[in-house]
Amino acid sequence: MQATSFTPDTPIRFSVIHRLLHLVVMFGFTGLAVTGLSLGLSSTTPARGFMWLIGGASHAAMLHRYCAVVTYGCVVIHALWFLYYKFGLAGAWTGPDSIVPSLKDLKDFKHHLAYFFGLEKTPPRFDKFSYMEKIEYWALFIGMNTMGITGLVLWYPECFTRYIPGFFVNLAQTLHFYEAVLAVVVKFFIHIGMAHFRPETYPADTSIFTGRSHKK
Amino acid sequence: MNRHILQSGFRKIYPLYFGIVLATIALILIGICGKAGAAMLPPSGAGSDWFIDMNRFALSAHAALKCDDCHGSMIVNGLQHSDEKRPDFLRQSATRTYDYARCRRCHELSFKRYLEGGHAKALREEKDPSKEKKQVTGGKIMAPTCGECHASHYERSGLSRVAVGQRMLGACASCHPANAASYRNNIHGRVGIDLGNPKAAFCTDCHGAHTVDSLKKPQTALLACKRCHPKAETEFTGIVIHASLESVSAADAPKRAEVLWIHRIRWFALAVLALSLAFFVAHSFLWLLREIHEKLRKH
Repeated sequence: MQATSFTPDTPIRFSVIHRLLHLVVMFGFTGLAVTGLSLGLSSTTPARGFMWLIGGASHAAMLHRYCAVVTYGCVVIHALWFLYYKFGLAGAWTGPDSIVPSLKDLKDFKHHLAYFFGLEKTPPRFDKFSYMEKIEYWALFIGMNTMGITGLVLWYPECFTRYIPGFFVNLAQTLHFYEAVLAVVVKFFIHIGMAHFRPETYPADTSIFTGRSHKK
Repeated sequence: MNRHILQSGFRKIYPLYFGIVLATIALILIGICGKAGAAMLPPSGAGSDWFIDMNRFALSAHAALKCDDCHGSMIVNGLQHSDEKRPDFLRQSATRTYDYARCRRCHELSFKRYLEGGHAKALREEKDPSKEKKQVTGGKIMAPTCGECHASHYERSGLSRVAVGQRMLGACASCHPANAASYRNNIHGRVGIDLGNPKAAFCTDCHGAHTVDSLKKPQTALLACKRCHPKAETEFTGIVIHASLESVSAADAPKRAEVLWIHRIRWFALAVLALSLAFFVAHSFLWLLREIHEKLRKH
């Protein structure tokens, strides 16, 4: 880990609020994943074993909802922070430090692919956030909200069926499951693998925990 | 030194967190592999035979009864048991020849409910020569009487709600396999059968033990829903519990349309999942190969 090489002028990549939110979401998301998948794969022995360990389906349901509130709470705090950044701090929407996709991301993507195949000697010089980080960020942002909405329908079906047809609850359940599988695979395999286990960053990219950037 | 606090804290939780992640991945993998093997149903308790295992009978709910309490004079269809002149006697189905009206003596309420219920109605229709219904079952009587669901010699009393529910699913599945399969895929089946939660709804909790209503009318279904979901209103019954085409009757066109929509959305979600994963996996794989190559080249 590059932790000891900090100097006072090391650029700060993630501010305290983002580090804290990442840490909370990390545990909230894991909680959601293990309790949710145990229900999704309930006919399997490991899922039953895990459910037994945490005290049965009722406790899993309670834990899942608790983790959901905590995790979605982070989304709300993040959105509020974004509004403050825009209007309170008069920050920019676009530019090299922005998370908003731009034309440069497309060029970076083409450049990066060319680099994979050896057509370019060097990887592209990304802005603060690479196209991969932007895809993950926006996929997560959309995912959190669809999971939130479908999850809420499944949490309060009695209330929602006053306004929507009954079989929409089935649709919500289907979407909730497949979105969950996508999110779990992308976060546990792709995100952790590519953010931390890549030869460049192995064994871990600590900047999301320390806030300090270790590259230029 | 302040900035190192989170750093050192992270060092401590790092192995823990990745332990959790690896355990989860292992759980998913073992889970997917074990899914087919673990999806076995507990054996159905239904059905009777001419030959009685007295050891098992002694443990059953009827253990205190003597043979002739139920079998009386041992006369079935006008023939005395055992009839040496008719050795093919034993080839008949025991559950089809027994006169289950005798159960009524002790189980008055259940018997009354059975007569009012769906199974008895189906039996009357199958026996009615004026109805064309016989074409469906090929002239065979399919509608169950007591013995098709209850093993009168071996059924034990005092089982837990979950154990009864699991055995019940096996009994119902012997005639309604598609409905049993779709129920198992539903939240009620998962929580009740797979995870053994006694608060979950088993077959008869909604359909009634002896009335066996198919719950096609929303008003009837709502009464069943409200037993656990008191705030439910009529549209709540529109939630599809048996969400497969095989478990919805061909005549119920609106419901089939809904199930088709559920299938379409499932395929759509699966396509999005597959395409996204294909992109992420391919992109990551190429990236890794290039970085490993660069690293090795510099050595």
